[in-house]
Amino acid sequence: MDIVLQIKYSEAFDKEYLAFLKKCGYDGVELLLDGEVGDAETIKKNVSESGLYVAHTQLDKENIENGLAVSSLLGVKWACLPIVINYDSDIICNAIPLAEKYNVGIAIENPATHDDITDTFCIYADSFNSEFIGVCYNIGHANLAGSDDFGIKKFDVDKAEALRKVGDRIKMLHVNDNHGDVDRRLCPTVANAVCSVEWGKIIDALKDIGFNGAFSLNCELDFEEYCLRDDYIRFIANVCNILLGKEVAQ
Amino acid sequence: MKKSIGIDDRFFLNLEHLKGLKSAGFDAVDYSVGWRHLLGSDSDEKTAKAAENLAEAGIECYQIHLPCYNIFLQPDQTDESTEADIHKSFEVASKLGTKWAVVHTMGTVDKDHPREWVIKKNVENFVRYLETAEKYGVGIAVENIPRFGDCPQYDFITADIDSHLEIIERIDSPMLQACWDFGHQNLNISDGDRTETVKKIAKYVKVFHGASNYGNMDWHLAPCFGNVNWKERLKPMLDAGYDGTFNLELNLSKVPESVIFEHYKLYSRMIDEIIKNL
Repeated sequence: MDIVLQIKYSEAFDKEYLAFLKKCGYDGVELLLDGEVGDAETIKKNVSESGLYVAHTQLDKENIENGLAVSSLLGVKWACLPIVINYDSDIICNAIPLAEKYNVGIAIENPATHDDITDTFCIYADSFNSEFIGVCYNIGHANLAGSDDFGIKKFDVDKAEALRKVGDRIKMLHVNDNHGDVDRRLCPTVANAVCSVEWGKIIDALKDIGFNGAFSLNCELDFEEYCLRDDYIRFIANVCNILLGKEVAQ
Repeated sequence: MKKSIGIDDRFFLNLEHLKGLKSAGFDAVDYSVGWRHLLGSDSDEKTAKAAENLAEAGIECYQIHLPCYNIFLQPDQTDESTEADIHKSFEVASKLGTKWAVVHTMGTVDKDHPREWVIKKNVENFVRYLETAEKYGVGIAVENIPRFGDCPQYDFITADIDSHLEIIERIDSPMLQACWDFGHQNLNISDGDRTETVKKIAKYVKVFHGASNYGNMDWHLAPCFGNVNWKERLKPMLDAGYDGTFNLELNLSKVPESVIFEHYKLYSRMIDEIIKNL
């Protein structure tokens, strides 16, 4: 499984940064499309020259067509769309013809909630009845089910089983961790609480469903001590490569 | 400042692990979680082995955490077994070359347990420990316990800085000082001005627990995660002459062994950056 890091679209203009990501051991990037974006050709060239590829994008709800057009130019097959179940139905329905036009699938993201929404979310994803609608499975969001705002377990939810239930609807991942309390977007293995993600079980479940996409990390990367950012980015790559049984970059 | 970290139960007698810690940049360990493993019928053998490992790895054990009572117990609810463990711990600590042993206060203030009674009983307990501590040349560092947001009804005695100071000042011994837990302070809903609180306790602080959280629960995160403001909290302590280690008390129990050294390397760098930015 490839290791991919979500970065801002603007960061992909920075060749040094991309080269650094490659050196850290990332295979690709996911681009966060914030607002209307352009010059995809330069991005494509930069990413390719650095030895990476654009695995996914994350769409901006206000600029879906622009996002899908750029995603298509970048060779992306699936773009994430964060949604609110039911509330965003019109947006999704209107986006389907655009997804067909640009030949880029829209992966609706499971929302962050303490409720167990696995069944509801599957039914919702299926209701669009389109091969251009899939799921971006956010492991951190799914991990919040069953606990409260203090990370205290309130009811049982088998997180690995929930992932299996979503199964082949999953077209891309958003990988991050938390304590079961709030969507903190921590690197895997940093949280370590009773209600944190059990990575061994989740990785096994991904294997069970035959997921062969990227391990796409969308972690909060900023510290007050800004110069730790690079160390953390390297740490994330190393930890994830080790968890997936891959080699760590030197 | 020397860098120290509490190591998990799994690794407490693992020489290679200690060497790896040293390579990651740490100078010392805090036998905090695994401490009880050094007690029991084979305590002397295990302690000797632990001391030998520390020496070979070039790692110090600057501080340890004494066995703790359930934090909801009142200070007159001690028991023989835990008391025996606590007293034995000073002997073990001495053999490890430990300077300070951290202890929790006991008790909450409520209608049946007035502040004065809780302080008096804690003082009695600590005076008892102090005899043993002095015998073995290991100091006692009394740790702050916060008033937690998820159980605000429990008014733990050291959530109030004045009570914490009063316990230390009543005993008035260079062998009984303070351990400051920055993570606990970050949770303390009774603590109004956190920088001022640190200034009040700073002169007594001999060791600290460097951990962070987001203010909701005691997650024991590495210092640059969460929202502990190190610049404002740690600086007054250094200004007051703090000469202990930068000690991390983290929850690493679920970190797979395969990635734990990646954690150590990052956390060692975090300490460097915090100190550099003070």
